[in-house]
Amino acid sequence: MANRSSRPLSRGPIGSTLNYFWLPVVLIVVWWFASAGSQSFFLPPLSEIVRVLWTDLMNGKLLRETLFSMRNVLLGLFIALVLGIGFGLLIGRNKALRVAVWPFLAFLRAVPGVAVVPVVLVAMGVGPGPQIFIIVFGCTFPILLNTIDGVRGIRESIIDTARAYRLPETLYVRSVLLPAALPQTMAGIRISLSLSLTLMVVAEFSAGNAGLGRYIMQGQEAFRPAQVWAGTIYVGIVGYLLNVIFLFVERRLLGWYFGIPRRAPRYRTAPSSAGKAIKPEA
Amino acid sequence: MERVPVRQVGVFVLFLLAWAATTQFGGVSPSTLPPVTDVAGALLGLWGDPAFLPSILRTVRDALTGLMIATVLGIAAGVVIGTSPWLERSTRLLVDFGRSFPQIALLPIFLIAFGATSTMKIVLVSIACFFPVLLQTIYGARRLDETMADTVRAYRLPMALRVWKVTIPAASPFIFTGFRIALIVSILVAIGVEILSQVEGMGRQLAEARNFYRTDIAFAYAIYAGLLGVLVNAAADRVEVALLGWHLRSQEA
Amino acid sequence: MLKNDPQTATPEPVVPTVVIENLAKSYGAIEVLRSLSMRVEPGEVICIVGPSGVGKTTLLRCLSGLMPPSKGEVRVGDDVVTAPRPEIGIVFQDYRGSLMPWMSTIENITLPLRGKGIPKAEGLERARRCLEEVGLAGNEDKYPWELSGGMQQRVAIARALAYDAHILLMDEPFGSLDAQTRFDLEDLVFDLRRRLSISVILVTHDIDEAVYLADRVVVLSGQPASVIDTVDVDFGPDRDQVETKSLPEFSKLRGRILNEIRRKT
Repeated sequence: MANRSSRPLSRGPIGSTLNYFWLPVVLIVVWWFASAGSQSFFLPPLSEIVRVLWTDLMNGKLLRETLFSMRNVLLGLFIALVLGIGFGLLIGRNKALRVAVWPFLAFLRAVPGVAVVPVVLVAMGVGPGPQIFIIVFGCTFPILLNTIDGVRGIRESIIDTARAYRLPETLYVRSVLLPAALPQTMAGIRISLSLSLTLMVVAEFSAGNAGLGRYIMQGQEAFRPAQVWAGTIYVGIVGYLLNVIFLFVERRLLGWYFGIPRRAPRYRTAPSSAGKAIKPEA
Repeated sequence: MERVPVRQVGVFVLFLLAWAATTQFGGVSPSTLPPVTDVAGALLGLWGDPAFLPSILRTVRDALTGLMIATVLGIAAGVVIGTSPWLERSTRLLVDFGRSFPQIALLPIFLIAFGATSTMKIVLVSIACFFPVLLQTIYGARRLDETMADTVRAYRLPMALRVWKVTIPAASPFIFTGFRIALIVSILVAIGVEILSQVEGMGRQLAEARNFYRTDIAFAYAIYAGLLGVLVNAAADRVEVALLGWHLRSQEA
Repeated sequence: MLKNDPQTATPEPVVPTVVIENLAKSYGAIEVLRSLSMRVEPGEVICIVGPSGVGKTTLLRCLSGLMPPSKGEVRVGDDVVTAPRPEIGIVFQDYRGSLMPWMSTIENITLPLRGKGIPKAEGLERARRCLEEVGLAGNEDKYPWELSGGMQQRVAIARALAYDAHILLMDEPFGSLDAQTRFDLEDLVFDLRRRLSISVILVTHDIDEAVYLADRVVVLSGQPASVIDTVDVDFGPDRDQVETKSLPEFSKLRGRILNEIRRKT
């Protein structure tokens, strides 16, 4: 007869959640108390940081900046997605095109997005337009290149099958090409996701009068390090949440790739009532 | 195969012509989009600028320093975490948070903490490069752990031997992938820091050019930054084949 | 079921004859196939055997329209084959590769039908019936990775049937499966041919399989490959894995074909 204590605590559902959370919680607590009496200018007490964070969340300030920044990021990412996947499919399929354009792409992708920021800001001034442009420029390439890789990596037999069954072009792209390249494309999207945040932050640090980057800069200019810390931590949380959402979406879209069964069947599996043979008995 | 360069050159020429046409007829101001000729001139002229080469060397030196520190720490931490499931679970939230964090956002904090110095840049580069190496090392070590755990346990290898002779070599393809990602990140972050905080390096030259409305020079620096990235990538390719030839060959088998 | 009952009488589908005339294929300077000719009458099962690498897959690709021949032609009915045709359904060797992994079984089968413009309801109905034909009723919502290799090949066959293919081209379809599954699928093909009056052109390196299934075995050999023999197989419409394969005639045919292949190489 097995008693409760014979099963290790770490194995149960409570145990494994504890496993994940204990270290972060401990670190935060240690930080809180270690910094409590801090007199140092650039290292304010955690309680102070949290206070600023809370205040600015409640009075809507952070929310406003978040909306501004996120709007640009999401718009930029969307455009990058369309361009990246669109051209990625096109270039991936067409060998001649790919060979001609490849060195070009390899170079452009190597140009650090952050180096482009000041150039664009001077060229296009300040505001959501240039910001979105920066994000589009930087984020298109990971998606584009990964999609090209994804298309190139499609198994020969899948392409042969589609040809043998004479699938029309739109059906082919929608139901074969796109899903086949999707796992690789998603890897590119993930890279672009974190890149977009970096570019957003850099652009907003450089110039501009709105956004989360601006919020952090404000703290620096007004000699309020707590605000700098609060803003930075907040940006980190936003980044983390975006990542979590992305992983969730990825699992839904790529269930087949990871071998995750769908939950509800889409077609009724009632026996056919039309009789067994396709053609009548002679 | 001899036709290939022709097509690529053709695309390049087309691009140059489009650029020239835009500046000639598009009514774009030279501080927005400088004419091709100006940028070409700047590309060449920079070689005569005494600040040019030192700035590149500075960027590269600082980026690589940060990269090396991050690699050593990343592999060490990655092996430790990767071989202990309990530790991996404990650190997962932290690692996930760190890896999704736009590390450049730390710049303001670092500026008030360390000031605008090269050291600050190296520290920031290290943090940014740490995560790719860490993640890939954990991944490699965990994979290995699962498949070889029984064999290793059966032979009762002592921990140090196991880690040094088995875990690290077997996980090396993944570690190298992490290194390559970190390589790109190192240059990116180094230049980013230089642009934003005026610390010595290519980025600072770029920002200064921009401040004086010499957009052609700024473009030139951006282009050189790109070329640097391409060069570094090509070098990494060679190293990969040399070090990991065995892995690539066994993958094909 | 009365023969002349207007409700049950449906027009017999016209299964076209496949004629291959002087087919040749070269890759640059390398001649792979040289002057192959054969006929496949409606409802026949032709098995093409030959040593590995002789060019059997190349031949099948030319037959299916996926690859143009260098010389000669393939005719299906009155039409020359220059591109994939609606009468031809193809089952590939690599079962892992020919079903779309992101689609369920029924979606995989209805995909070519959507391409043909067949309305959804009718397509679903056809697909379901064909799944039953291959013995996989109930597996409509499974994904390829949830099915065994043998089952995936059955789905591939069902897909070709639903496409209303009168001619089934099969490229070593059972090569990567275990013996028992292979026998089940061989019997399935045989059964389908009998009930549905389709022609089957099956490429295989397995001589037993060829002799078991075929009405005629075409032996391919040499470099470049050519038809070195055509063997008529006369076991009748009722065959059994155990009984047919233990007939003395079976061994004779097998031996003959094996010798011919060995002799040339």
